[in-house]
Amino acid sequence: MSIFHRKITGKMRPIWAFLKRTWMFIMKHKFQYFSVGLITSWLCIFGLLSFLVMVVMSFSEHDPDHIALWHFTLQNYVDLFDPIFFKIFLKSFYIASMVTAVCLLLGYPFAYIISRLPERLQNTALLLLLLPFWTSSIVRTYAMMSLLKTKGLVNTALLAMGLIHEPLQLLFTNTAVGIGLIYNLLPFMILPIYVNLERFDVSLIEAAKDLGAKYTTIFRKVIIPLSIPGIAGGCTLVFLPAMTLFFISDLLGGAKALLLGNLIEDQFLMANNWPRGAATSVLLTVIMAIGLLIYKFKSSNKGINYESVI
Amino acid sequence: MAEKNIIELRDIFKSYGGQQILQNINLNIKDGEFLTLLGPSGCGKTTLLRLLAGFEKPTSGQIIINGKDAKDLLPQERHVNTVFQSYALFPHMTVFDNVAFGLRCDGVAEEEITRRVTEMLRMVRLSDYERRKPHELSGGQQQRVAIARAVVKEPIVLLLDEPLSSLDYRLRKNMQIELKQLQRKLGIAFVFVTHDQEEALSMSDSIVVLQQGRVVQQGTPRDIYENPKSISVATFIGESNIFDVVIDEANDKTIKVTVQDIQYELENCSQFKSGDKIHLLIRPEDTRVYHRSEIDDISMMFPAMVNEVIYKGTTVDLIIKLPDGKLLSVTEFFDEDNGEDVTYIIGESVWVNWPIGWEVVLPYEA
Repeated sequence: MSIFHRKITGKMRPIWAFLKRTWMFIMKHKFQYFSVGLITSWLCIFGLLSFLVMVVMSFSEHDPDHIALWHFTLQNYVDLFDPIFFKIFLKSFYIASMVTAVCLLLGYPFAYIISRLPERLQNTALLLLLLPFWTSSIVRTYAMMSLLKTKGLVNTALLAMGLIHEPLQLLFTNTAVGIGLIYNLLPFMILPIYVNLERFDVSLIEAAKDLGAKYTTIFRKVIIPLSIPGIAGGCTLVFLPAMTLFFISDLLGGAKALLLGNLIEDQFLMANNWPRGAATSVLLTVIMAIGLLIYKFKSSNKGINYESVI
Repeated sequence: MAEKNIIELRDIFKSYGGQQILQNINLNIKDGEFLTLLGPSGCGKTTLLRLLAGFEKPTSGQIIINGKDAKDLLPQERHVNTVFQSYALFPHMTVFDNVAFGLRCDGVAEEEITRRVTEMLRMVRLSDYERRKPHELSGGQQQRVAIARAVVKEPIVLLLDEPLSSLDYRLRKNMQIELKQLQRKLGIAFVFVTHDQEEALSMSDSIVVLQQGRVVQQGTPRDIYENPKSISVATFIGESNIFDVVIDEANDKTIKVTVQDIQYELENCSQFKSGDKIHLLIRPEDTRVYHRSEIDDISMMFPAMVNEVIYKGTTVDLIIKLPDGKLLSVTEFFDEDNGEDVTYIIGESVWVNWPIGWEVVLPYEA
């Protein structure tokens, strides 16, 4: 006789009733629980859990024979106060800032134009924007190499047009890394801004026009300030990967450790020092989290809803 | 009040993608008047307002603002400002900055801006709120900011696009009075768009009734209510009891019609002929009902049965049923002087008439 048919008596009875009620409730709202549960467990396993492993590892001792040795230490963090680390951090910060700035300058008008298109064209434009991302970014980065190399498409075209007389050294420079990062990250700038502008209340623009504002004024005083949440969302989504997309810097920037991502990669794979790699990752996460918290705090003071962006 | 036309619309047509929205609109807006564009949703009243504001251009026709063709005017030269249905307040600016926005666009000196905005906020009783953001205000307060923001530009015409539609009943009543007072104080013309006939009647100097993109009637509220030009206007504005009848006899002065087996002699107001089909319209408040005990002569009355009694405080509304099953609405006012008995019981018999001459006779429309 299965448990479902047995008569439950005594102490177990209220517990059984509770379990049964809960189970009935879950069965009633199957789909909600399934979908929310799926996402939650996905984030827990691949996000939270792996991050916790990193945190634990960052406080562990380095041991050549093992991945890490669980013995509490702060040594990995102390090691990070190395001038070389600071140099890489600053350089990485600089590159990421430039990439973010360029993405913003390119992405904002792009997002603005898409958001003003008729709905059918909007969807087409978004599809075209995302189409390249159906292939692996490593493949696309290799393609970028063939464009930028000495006898690549860019140099050939420039030479043919007579704009330059000898090929430019593009590949394996910071510029190439920048171009690669911008190319890969631009959609992450465009999409949040687009989402923000797409539901922009058109009557605000009409109101501004009605009050005698010129188009530049409307843009400066109404549209830009109200799209700050979108801009902030886009910048966050571009800045963080721009500091860590190590393979782009590997492929386009030569063997130099340009980005924080390369440093982390090196510590894991070259130096085989997982605890220190973990500490570097954790520090990066903490810095980003602080940045987000500051933004969140400031925007909640201004009454702008940050959650509406991401 | 000057009788000068501040805005003239001449033969305005407007279509979107082959669909006629406005047809042959001819309209004059006088300086300082409160003009209401009244019509059901989709009648083109908002489009008409948008043409006046300059957000849309007419497909054909001419708009003349203050003697100049609007085609040649920049938005800031129109001196026409709008209060939007959704208010469209800038959410990232304070109340003060919202109101100052238009003046800053015009390059007014900051000192004068402060003076005018402060004065304006005092006028709409929001002086204590100038540092607040719109989302920290109630609906009625946001409404007043929207009005202040438009009025501070000293327009010659203020356009209001259903500004009261999102407020609750009590607030709407208060805002109606406030708007009317503000308009008198400012002395500028208001063009007010609404689908609420009660609002239109109580606020306007002049009502323009729009139906399916055409002006079907323009006049004072009283004129529109008492002398509707068509059955559609009559049924849209206020309630009516309508009898569709054929004229028995007609001469230059009078017509004879039979309603509920009684022949009435009525004034011939627009050269009806014998055999013409007409609508005979009687407003509920003009429809009189009596208990049999109250009257001696029932020769010009027809019988009915009380079907529903709705007590409304100042009035008692009745729905009465005629022998042929037709339902009529009746509004009885409590009149303490005349001592008329206004207590009715559902199912009791009553006798009905109306003061001859208070009816409206309109040509039959299918």
